[in-house]
Amino acid sequence: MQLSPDLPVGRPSFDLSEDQLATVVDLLCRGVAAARPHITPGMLEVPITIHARKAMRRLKKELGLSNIEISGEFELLDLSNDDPEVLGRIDIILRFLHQFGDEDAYIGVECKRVGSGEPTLNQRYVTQGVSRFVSGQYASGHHWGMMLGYVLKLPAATVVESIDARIRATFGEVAKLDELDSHADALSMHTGALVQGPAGHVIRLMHIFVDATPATAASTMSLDSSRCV
Amino acid sequence: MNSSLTAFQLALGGGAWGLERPTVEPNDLLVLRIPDLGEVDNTLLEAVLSAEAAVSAAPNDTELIAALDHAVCDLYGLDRDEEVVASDGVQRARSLLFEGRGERMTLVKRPSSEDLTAYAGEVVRTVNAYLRARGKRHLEAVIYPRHIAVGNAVDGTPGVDAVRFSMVAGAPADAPCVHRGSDAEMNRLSALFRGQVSSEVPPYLNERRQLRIYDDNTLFILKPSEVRYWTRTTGLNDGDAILADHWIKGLHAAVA
Repeated sequence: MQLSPDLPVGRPSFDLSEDQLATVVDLLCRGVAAARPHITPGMLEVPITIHARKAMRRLKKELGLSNIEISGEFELLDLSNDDPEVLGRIDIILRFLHQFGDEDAYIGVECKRVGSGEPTLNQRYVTQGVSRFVSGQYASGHHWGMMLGYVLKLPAATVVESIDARIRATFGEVAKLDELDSHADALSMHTGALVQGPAGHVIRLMHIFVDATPATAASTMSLDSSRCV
Repeated sequence: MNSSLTAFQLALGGGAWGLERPTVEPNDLLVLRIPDLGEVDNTLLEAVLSAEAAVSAAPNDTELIAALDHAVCDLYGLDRDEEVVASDGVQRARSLLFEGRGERMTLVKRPSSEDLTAYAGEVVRTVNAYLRARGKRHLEAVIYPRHIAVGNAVDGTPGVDAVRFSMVAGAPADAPCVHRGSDAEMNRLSALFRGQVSSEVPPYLNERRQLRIYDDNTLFILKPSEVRYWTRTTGLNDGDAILADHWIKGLHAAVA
């Protein structure tokens, strides 16, 4: 005898996908806001992100969110070869219940420091952040990916302008950033469509810029050389 | 030692008590999981001590017993959902440990309005947690005063109860919103279910003991009219099932 699968009758009609995404955005923005008092001058991306992840996990509990797992430094392995290399490590990932057990299923969030008048950091946001989603190194085949920009120097509008220009120049006009309604704890939010890999899969990247000005050091020019992936 | 959490551990955390022997022995007590009392916050300890003293003075006061259970759960660092599962677990364990008609009847009697309200509240709370970020909609529930299908004592069938869930505009409130449906609405629902799904529902309901029927903006959950299917713990599970219904099939945020 085979037990019937636990499926509903009729089509599930509550349409929760947007709420799911909004919850992820809410966790990220409120997580960074809660972590901000712990950010110190000169702090690099990795420790800022660890503070943010810890705050997100506390928030998850506080908000009573079940079915979701928050983790970080998620290791990507290239199974097409036998090299002992790691393809990359994603700073933050979120997994919903139905994604458990599938290593390729997650919502990936790459974190990068940016700032007004910080061309090197802003360039890295694109070349070592956005590009990884475009190449399929991160979030291969996914509908959504996320970039979390820690803004060290305001105004955020200048940062967005600089990054938008760089994205257009690198990936074409179709990849331009469109403004979204911002979360109360974000400086601004944007989205853009990018073609991922040679098959032409389209991934939407959400760019969330948050206030990380306490990390501004006397010299932010001393770039984070500790991150190699 | 007098809290439900201790009973929960003894009843469901070990294999011997209640099966091999009816008594709690020292080795049972030695395997109880207890927080490091030297490390925990003093205020949590004091809360447990004062709750225990209050129960000692009035051992039949159920509110004081519940307060003691809550203080112990805080001491253990359990979150709200874990506290619900532990509390319900003790009720279920009673019928396993003290087999008898009386214990069984506490699980198979018809759920009261309070039972259904508590169940529906957990479902609503679980789903609303994901609606809070946008703050545009929230889930509300309607419970009904009568069976949707009447049981038959001769056949031993318990009948069927239903709870309706609907999306409503507006941000979720802190407390879940559970309404009482009218007899007239109940009659319409009974006719609807008898006419449209009677050929498919009974076998499925017999196997799974629960049925989720989606219709436009509404979800009906149907289950046997026995209180064991309408606990707060099953409310937590059903809330998760509703979330999964929407995420497994639909085009989801992350997976192509």
